[in-house]
Amino acid sequence: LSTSETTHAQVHAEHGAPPPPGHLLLRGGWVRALWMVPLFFFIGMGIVVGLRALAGWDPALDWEVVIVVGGLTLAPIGFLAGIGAFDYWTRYALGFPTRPEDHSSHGAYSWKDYFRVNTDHKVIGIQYVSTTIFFFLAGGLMAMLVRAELARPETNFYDTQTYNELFSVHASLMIFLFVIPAFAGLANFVVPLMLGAPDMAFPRLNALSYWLLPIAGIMMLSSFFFPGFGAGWTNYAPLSVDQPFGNVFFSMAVQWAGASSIMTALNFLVTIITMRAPGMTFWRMPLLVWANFTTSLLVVVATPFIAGSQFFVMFDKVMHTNFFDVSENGYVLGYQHIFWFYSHPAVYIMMLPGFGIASEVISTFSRKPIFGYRLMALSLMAILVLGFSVWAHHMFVSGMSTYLRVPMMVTTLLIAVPTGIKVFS
Amino acid sequence: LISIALIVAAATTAIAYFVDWLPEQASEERQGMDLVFWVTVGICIFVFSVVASVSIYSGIKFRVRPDDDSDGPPIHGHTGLEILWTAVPTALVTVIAVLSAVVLAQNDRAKGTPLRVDVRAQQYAWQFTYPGKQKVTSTVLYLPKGRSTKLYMRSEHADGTPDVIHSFWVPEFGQKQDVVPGIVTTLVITPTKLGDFRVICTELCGLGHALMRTRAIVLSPEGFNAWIKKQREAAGGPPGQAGEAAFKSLGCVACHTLTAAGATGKVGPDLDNLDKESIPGGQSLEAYVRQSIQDPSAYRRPGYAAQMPPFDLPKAQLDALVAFVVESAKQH
Repeated sequence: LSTSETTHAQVHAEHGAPPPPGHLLLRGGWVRALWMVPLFFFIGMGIVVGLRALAGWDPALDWEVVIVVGGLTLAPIGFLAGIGAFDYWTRYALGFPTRPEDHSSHGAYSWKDYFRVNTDHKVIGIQYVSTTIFFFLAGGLMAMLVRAELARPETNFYDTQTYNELFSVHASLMIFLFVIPAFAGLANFVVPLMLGAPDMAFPRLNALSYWLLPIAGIMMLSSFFFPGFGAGWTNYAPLSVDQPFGNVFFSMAVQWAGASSIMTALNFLVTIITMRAPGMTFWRMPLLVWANFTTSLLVVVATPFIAGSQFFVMFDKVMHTNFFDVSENGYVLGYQHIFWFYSHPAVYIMMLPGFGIASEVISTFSRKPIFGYRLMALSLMAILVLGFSVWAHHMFVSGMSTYLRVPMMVTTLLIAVPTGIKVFS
Repeated sequence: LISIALIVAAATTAIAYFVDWLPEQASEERQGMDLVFWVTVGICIFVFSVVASVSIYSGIKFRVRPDDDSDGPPIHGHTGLEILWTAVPTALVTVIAVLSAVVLAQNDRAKGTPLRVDVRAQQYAWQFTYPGKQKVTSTVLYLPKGRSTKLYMRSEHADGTPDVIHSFWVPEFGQKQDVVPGIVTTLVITPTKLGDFRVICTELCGLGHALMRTRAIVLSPEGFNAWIKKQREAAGGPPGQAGEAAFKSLGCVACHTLTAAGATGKVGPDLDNLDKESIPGGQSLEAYVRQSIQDPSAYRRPGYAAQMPPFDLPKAQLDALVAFVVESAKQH
């Protein structure tokens, strides 16, 4: 016993925390992020002011455009670069010797390692889950504020705009910063373990996808300071186009959260397809892995659609395009079709991992195998396919072409069949 | 076990059916919708109760005893059962789909020649226009009982520029329909009960969304004809009478105080004292009233929120309304 203890201690001593390379200001971490964020913001500001001055537009310094380009696009990239998410790739691209990460299953040496870029899938899983719990609390607090306002008739605490912003940001945080990434975090932790893989297929991409998440969350929270994002989480045009400037914070936050989802999902797909342990065939994978496999397929196909819908809204707002301006032949229902083509599958993105967890937990604690394993997995695939054919059931009363209603109703009802199979099995 | 589950399921379904959950039923369309609703909900409650009671029963009966560390029997796979619980939901779902499609088709069809009403939704008000030789405009929806009314709904401002998305809903009539800029949406209602119902906007449309409400009043066919005749006469009659009628039918009474019309609203400025208050920009009282009706945002009295919608009225009606408000205010 004593020998094994010493070996363990020795291993720790040999590895130790990696020696910090470079000066504090230049080394990847929070200090470097602190100066790189303003740097990138001013680069963005310079681009905007420069181009506007060259084009002779008045005023050259348009703060709204500066905030969109500098604040919401380049500053986050500065943050990611500063914290060190791009370090390996940058060194590789520039021809410097790269610094490979430690993959000896010692993801974190102390609590501080959870606040650094770390490529260990278990560390990232914990980072994901703790971040989502933070935003879950923030979103929950907003729900309490909404209820407090509703406790008595008339307006009591805030004006109507603030009230609308509270419930909009509440919903967005809960969906994009809690439900979706919380399952991604759990999957990060357990999927490689369940597959017998040493880590995810692309550990650095995995770290990057995590660090996009706090950016999106902070962006949504800061929409309050630029009132405001008050069109509900669905952000229906043209109401969203008429909203005050803060609405672009939501549009951009969805881009960052969406990018994070897509990166994680790709990572899961590659991991599940290529990194299964010998003997772990598709039909032997645990159902939780199956659930994450189908969820990831949904994310990869659907998420670009919400990104598109929010870009349309932001372009209408900032660049004065006319996607949803009826008086310029815009098409209002277009927004809803694109939006729900993501947001209905998003329901399954939020639900399928839950099905997977239920399958594992119930089967384990009843000490029995799953009753209809193959049919369970096939139902997941059926939900995946049908999930893309039901989006318009959110739009039955929206004024869309009436002939669309019955087919959409039929597919919506059909999706109950695989869902029922999952309950019975 | 199965008999217990079935008994529990039947009991919960029956209880659910006999509790009065839904708002009063006041249109033929609602009857069809309620049928679909109860068939679907009945199936759901029944299936849920069976699953839940079997799960709870098994959870209690077959729970693990202390010190029992053995695995359960490895039962899995039974093709017959799996086919059964795929086929049963498919059959139930087919029934619901056919029923819904039939009801939907029925509800889209108006019976006989429908009464046409043009609806205009804008932030944050409804306006209903009854076309004819002499148009009648009202902010309260009047409908005849027993006859189909077809609403043609637009989301636009008085000058025809597009507004945001709204949604028309009367709980007692059942249906809901979005009012979308750039599209004319339609809705058929056949009221079956006299009464005074709520019209509610159910699509978040901005700051005043919660206040975007009005009423739908169902009259007997004779009552409705009398109402519309009176409106037409009033609009064409002497200015005082037409003005008072307009003041009442356009909904001014809900927000403003004006003794001559018996109005005691407190949301907007008190119109009795209009002539004693400062009028902006040296306008005449008459011009100021006219401007405030057509474009309330041109001058907003301090302390009042931007809640009043602009009104685009036929000239005769507007003249009568302005004259009535000015005359009534001067009496105080």
